[in-house]
Amino acid sequence: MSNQEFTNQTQFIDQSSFKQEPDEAFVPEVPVETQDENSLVQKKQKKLILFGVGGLVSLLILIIVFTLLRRQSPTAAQDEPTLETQLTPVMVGPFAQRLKELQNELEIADPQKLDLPFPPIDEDITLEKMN
Amino acid sequence: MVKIKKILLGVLLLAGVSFFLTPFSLFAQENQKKDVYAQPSLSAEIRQLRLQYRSELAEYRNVENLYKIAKDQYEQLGTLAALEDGVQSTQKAMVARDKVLHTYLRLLRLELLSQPGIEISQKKNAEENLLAAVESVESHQALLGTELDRPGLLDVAQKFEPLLTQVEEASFQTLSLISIGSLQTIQDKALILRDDMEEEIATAGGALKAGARQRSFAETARLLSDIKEYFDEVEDRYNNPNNSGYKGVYRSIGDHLITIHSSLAKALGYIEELLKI
Repeated sequence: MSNQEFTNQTQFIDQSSFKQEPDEAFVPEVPVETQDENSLVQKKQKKLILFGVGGLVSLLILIIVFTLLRRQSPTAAQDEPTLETQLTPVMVGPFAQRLKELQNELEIADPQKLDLPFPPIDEDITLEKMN
Repeated sequence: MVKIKKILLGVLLLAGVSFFLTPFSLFAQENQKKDVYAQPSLSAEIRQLRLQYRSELAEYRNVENLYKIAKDQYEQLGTLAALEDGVQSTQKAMVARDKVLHTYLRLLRLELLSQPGIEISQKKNAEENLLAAVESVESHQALLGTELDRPGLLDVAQKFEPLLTQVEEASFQTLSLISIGSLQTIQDKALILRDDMEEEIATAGGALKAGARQRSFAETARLLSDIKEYFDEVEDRYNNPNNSGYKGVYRSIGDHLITIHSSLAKALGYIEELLKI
């Protein structure tokens, strides 16, 4: 015992301390610590597996959501609205659909909105003075 | 522990399979879309040529501005350096202009070929004229293949005048046909739609509305057939171009085409109303 231990006035000399190491004769042959370590490792593994499964499931959900979103946005692959992209689908289905397609085609065929006018070029490119 | 490993393996397998299948399903979906849209064969080429045409036109505008500046400089300074700069800028502008015309003619040809509602003989004739114009532009481009001096440029400039007439004729002939063809196609489709609707809708429903429906269908048919007169007039003008050629034809049929367009819009409005009766 160190001097420090005598400073405790509430303790008798022959009283054994709680901090005292247990007698080696009473220590069980199978160590308790190794059992605890094993269960801890198992728990950690379980947690890891659960995290892994959870991650993969969320990845799957993300892939499914992404696929659904791609299907819902038909214009995703289109770059810019040109005349070709405005072409209406082949006429199938009910009358209303066919009528809508015709109205679209009529809008494109408006003679006042010339799609491909003659190129605005200078027909007199020359270095000579013009008369 | 073994069970968990199996589950983990299963989930991994599932994730892997779905990951690899996703692009295929999207690809298949895009293919389906392509099948639904009409005229897929030429549209890709047309789109590409349109992009090329736009970029060449932008380049031409830029070069044309530089040519104008160089020409002004030469007229003001009259030095040899200004002359050299002017010669080079003029040649560049001429090359860019020929490029624009060449691509425009090729683009018009594809537009013509993809346009329904045009008689084959008329389409063929217009296509031949376009190809002849393309050849002439190529010959003119060959003249600009080497570096030219001032008299050489003057010679090329003089040869451009008949070339432009030929290009304009071929272009306006095609533009006229495309305008007529697109409206003609809509009229044909509208007539078929009206007939189909009459077959299915006119006789359906209560007896109270039957008379009104039949009168409405008859009125729509009358309107659509009245358009034929305008088409005949347009066709007549196209077949008999006056001295001003197809450029004149294109200008003269403009009003008729506008009338046809508005009549078709009215007819489609009638059909829309018929669907609600």
